[in-house]
Amino acid sequence: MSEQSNSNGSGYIIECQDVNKWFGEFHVLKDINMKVKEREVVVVIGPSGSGKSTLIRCINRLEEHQEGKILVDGIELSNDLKNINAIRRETGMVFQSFNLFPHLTVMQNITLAQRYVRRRPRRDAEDMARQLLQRVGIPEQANKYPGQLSGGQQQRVAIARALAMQPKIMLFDEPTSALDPEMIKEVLDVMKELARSGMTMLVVTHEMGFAREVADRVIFMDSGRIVEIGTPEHFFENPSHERTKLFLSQIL
Amino acid sequence: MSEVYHRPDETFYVAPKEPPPSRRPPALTIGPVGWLRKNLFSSVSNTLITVITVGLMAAFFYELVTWSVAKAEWNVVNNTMRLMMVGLYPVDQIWRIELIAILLVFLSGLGLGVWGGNARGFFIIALMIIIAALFIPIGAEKIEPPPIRFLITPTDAIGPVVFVGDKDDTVRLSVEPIDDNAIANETSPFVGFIENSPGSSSSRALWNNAKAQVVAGTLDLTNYNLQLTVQLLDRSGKVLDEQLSTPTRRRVNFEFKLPADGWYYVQVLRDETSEAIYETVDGVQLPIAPARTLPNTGYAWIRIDGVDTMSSQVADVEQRTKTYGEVPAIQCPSAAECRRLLLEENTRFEGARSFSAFLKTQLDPFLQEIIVSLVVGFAVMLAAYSIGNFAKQSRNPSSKKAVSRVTIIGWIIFFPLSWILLSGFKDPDSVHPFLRLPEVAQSLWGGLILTIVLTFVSLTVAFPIGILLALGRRSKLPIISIFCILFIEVVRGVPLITILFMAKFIVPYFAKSMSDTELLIRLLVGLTLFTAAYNAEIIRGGLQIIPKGQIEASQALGLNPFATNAFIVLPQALRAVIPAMMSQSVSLFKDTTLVSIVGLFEFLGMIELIVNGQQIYRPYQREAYLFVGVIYFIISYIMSSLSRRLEESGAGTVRKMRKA
Ligand SMILES: Nc1ncnc2c1ncn2[C@@H]1O[C@H](COP(=O)(O)OP(=O)(O)OP(=O)(O)O)[C@@H](O)[C@H]1O
Ligand SMILES: [Mg+2]
Repeated sequence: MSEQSNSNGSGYIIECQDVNKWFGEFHVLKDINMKVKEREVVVVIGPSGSGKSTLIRCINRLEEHQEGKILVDGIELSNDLKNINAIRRETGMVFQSFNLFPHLTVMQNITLAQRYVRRRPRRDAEDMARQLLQRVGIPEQANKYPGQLSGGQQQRVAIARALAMQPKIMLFDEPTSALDPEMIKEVLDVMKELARSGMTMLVVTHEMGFAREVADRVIFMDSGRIVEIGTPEHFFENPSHERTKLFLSQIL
Repeated sequence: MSEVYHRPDETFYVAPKEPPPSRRPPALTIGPVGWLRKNLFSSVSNTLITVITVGLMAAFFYELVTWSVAKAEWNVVNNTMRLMMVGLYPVDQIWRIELIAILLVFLSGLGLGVWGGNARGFFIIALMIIIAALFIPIGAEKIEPPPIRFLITPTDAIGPVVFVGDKDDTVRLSVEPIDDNAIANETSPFVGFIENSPGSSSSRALWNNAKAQVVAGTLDLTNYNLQLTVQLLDRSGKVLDEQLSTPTRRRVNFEFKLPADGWYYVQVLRDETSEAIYETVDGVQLPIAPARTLPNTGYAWIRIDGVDTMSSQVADVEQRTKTYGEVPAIQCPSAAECRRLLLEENTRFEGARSFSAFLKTQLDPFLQEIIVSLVVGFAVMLAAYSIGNFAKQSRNPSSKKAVSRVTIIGWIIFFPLSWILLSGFKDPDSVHPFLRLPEVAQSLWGGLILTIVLTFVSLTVAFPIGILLALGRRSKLPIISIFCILFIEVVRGVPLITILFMAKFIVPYFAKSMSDTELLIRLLVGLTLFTAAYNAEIIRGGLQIIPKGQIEASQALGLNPFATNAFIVLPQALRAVIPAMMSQSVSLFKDTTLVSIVGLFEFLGMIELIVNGQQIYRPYQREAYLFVGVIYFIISYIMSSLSRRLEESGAGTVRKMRKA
């Protein structure tokens, strides 16, 4: 897998070059430059409204950027539908509000895309789903509907659903901020296990403990620009930028 | 002990180690009287509202029920059942409609069996069977023409009743007392012949009073003397047969065999002589009517058997003229009398009848008409239910699957199959002999079956079109969305009747190829497009409630727009709009009545045709329209109950969805 993705030679699986984006008049992403290596876990933090979600959503084209270049696994994001679909197949996404399909059972939630997009036979798709449910710790919930699960269980199903497509990259947009404190841990545990298994992850989160423990690098954003990128130790112990210091002093 | 758990007066509190045991909720002990007090009579104003409402409802229903039982003449329903149900569909082909009705009942029973049903499910199916049973008794070859009854009142004789007859048809004329008991039981006293006392105007009370006296034996009828001459004439006015009716005869009957095809009419004359009437029996002159001292007035029925009612559809009128010639111009005994006949008040008689008479004379004929089909319907339903239920209970899960698959496939082929059965083949010889169904022209379809065809064809076709329009309206491609918006808004901005007129007149003018298309098809297209536009707006409402996150999640998984719509958006959106769609469907069902304005006689149109077009039924509009209302209500109720079942059934119901 790694041979193939490195075939473009750069060694980075996500590359953003001078990315700019506007919502109408509002300049929401300003000259974003950042790269993510394969198997790396990068945590994006920053105050509310700083553009973290927008950035991560640009990477699988849920939002469209207007300037600059985004390369995912060597493929450039453009209006070419084929490229978009190729990139979406390689990236899994987990949302703050889970976004499970309420009319489908857990099993159907996990198998739908496998069968329709990956064209996997039903039996294989269901085997895969059972394995993943085992992995996220809720094997017994396969035949329930999302509405019958707790928030933490729903988010773990959402992770399993994304993993079922065997993506190279997992994008997380504040996966725990809609959860009660008791449920946050179960989701973070799954994410930690995922990170340890070598998945490339780009995680927007306010869980500083998670960032400290798991992240290889931390990106700090403020009002649409990247303020600082660094290792967790550097970032939390000895931040360089004034804005970072202010932010950390407010949340810690 | 308990104060350990609960010390509200203290500022600080630590709960005991063990939580208190859970208890059952307190029982509701108010009882029926308590319930009444709590819900209906909780305050003075509520009591007032309750009493007034209940009073009004009771008064209304009391009126309705007593009228229906004691006064209404339901024969109009019974006699015209075939026309109301299937219109002019050929009598010898009606078995096809019966087959469709049986299939419908069978499939419903099967579904109820496999997928399980509650009490309401059974109730709905019972209603469906009743409706299905109205489609003509199974096995009946030709419907006997219903007896036609005319009222003779103190002030009216009857104008001529015109009919067509074929050679050797037998026509029976009789003069009968009005009392229903007497009709059912020929030996009862001749209470119909009750004279009006001079000076006082005719009144129901008077008649009822007199009738009671006759029954009690306190009124001697020998002095009462309604004398009528009943004549059967051919079109030239030649009297073919006539008979005198007098009070002393139990019942006047005569039969006449028609000599040739053609027009005939019946006429009743009032005998104004005041002399006694004698009849010579075995050379002896016997008085059969005493000399009259009072004017020749009284009530009676003239009953005509063996005469078919006439259709007033243009094609049929033409056909009739071709076969039997023009309608004869008949002179009324007096112009005023002819005209008065058309007034309900003068031709309709409302005495009061007992409940048993109601059962015997009103309900019984109706039940006899449909009892066979009711029994067959319930038998078919039970058989189907047993099959389904057996499969459901069986150990082998594949048999349940098989039966439920058969049921689904059955429903899918049911609709096209019904269409084929109804219409037959243009060239029946070209198909397999087993399927050799002669064509039944769509202009002959009518009555309730036409209403049902109009409703279900346009609903099923409009459904996918509505979805496409709704999706199209949200499309990012401007041409498509503009087209959809334009279509939807134009159609919704135009009254349905206008659309139907366009389908009838304007479309064939512009599109010459459409002018040969059957009117039914053109109107179906109109109804379908109309429904599709409304459905599109309802579905768009459903699409709007789907959170954006659902679509994003689907896109993030790599599903393309088509799959996102098909698997994620539409299933949720459609389920959410089932109630609105159903109410649209019910209102379409009722709106199909409008096609009668442009020349198709569906259920209501047929009734209108019957009660307005045929003199003999004109007095019975109340009964006819009440019946129409009841049938429309039952079918609408079935439809909305089914939708409620649909809402509650299946995976991820709306309620579960909301919770997520
Ligand atoms: N669809 C949109 N249209 C217009 N403005 C938007 C849109 N989505 C986001 N914004 C604006 O863009 C800015 C960045 O939004 P974004 O959701 O990326 O912030 P965030 O960093 O994820 O914040 P949070 O931590 O609250 O999630 C915000 O000011 C927001 O109001
Ligand atoms: Mg955000």
